[in-house]
Amino acid sequence: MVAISNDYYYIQSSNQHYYRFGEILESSELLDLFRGRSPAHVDLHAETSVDSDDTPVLQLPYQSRFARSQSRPALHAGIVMTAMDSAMGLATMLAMEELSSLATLELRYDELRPPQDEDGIFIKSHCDSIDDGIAYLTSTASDSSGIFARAVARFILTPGSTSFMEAAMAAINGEQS
Amino acid sequence: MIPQSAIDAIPYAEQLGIKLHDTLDSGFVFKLEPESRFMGNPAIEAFHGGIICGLMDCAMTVTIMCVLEKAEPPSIINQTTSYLGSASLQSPVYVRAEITKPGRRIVGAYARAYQDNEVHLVAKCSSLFKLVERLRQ
Repeated sequence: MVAISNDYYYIQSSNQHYYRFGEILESSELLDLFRGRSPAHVDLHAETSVDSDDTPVLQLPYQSRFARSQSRPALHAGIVMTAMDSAMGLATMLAMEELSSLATLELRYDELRPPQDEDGIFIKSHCDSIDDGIAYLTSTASDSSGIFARAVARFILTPGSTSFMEAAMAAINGEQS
Repeated sequence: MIPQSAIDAIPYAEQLGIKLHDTLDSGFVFKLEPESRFMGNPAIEAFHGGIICGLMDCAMTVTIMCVLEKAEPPSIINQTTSYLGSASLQSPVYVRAEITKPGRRIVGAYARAYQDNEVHLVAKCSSLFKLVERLRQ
C-alpha cells in the first residue's frame, strides 16, 4: 500500500482495489481515469474495460480519419500500435506492486494480416512479469474475424516517481494539474 | 509520386499533420508539429509513444511510395521501435526515413525520430513492408 501526494489517496495493488477518501475504486474506474487524463487516449475515442481476470481491454471503433489508404478503409497500423501501447501501459499499471511512472522501452508489432475494412478492433494486453524495474508485456489486436496483430513490449518503471498517478488523482479531486 | 501526394493518400498520415521537411539522397525527413492531442503523459507534457510509432510508420510508408513509385501504400509486416528518450511537446518531431532493402515484394525500411538535435534520437525503428499491387481493371 503506497500513499500518494497528501495522503488522501492510496493504492493497494495486491488485490487490485484502489482507494479514494475511503471509497474503493474498481480497477475499471482507475483505467478510465488514466484514459481520461491522456489527450492521446481521449483522441482515440476508445472504450476501456477490464476482464474478469483484471486484463484491460481497449475497444477502438472504426474511424475513417484513421484509415490506411483512400482505397483501403481499414484502421492504419499506426493507430493500432498507439492503442496497443496504451493498453499495455494500462496493463502495467494494474500489475504494479508499487506506484511508479512508466515509459515504453521497446515495442515489437507483428501484423498477421490487415484488419477488416471498416471494422472496429479490440485489444487485450497482459503483463507477463515485472522484474528489476522492467515490465514485460504481450498484446493482441482482434477484429470481427479474430486476431490480426500481436505485439510485445518492455516498459521501464521508475519507483518513487508517481507523477502520472498524482495528475490523475488530482483530476478526481477537481484540481488543476 | 511526390511526398505530399503520398501523405494525402493515407488518411491517418493526413490527420496527424505530417509535412515534408527535407529531401535527402537516401530518403526524406518529415516534420510533425506538436499538438495537445498528441500528449501521452500530462505530467511531463511529452508525445505519446504510440504517436511516435505511427509517425515513423507513415514516414517509412511515404518514403517507399515515393522512392519506388508506388501508387498504393505498402502493407506493414512488422515494426520494432526502440524508445531512447521522451519527446517534448515544446518542439516538433522530425523523422528521417530511408529504405534499407528495396526488394521486389518485400521492402525493408528504417526511421529515426529526433527533435532539436539529430544526434539525440527520441526513437528509432526498423520495419518490413509488403508491396501492394494495384488490381488491374
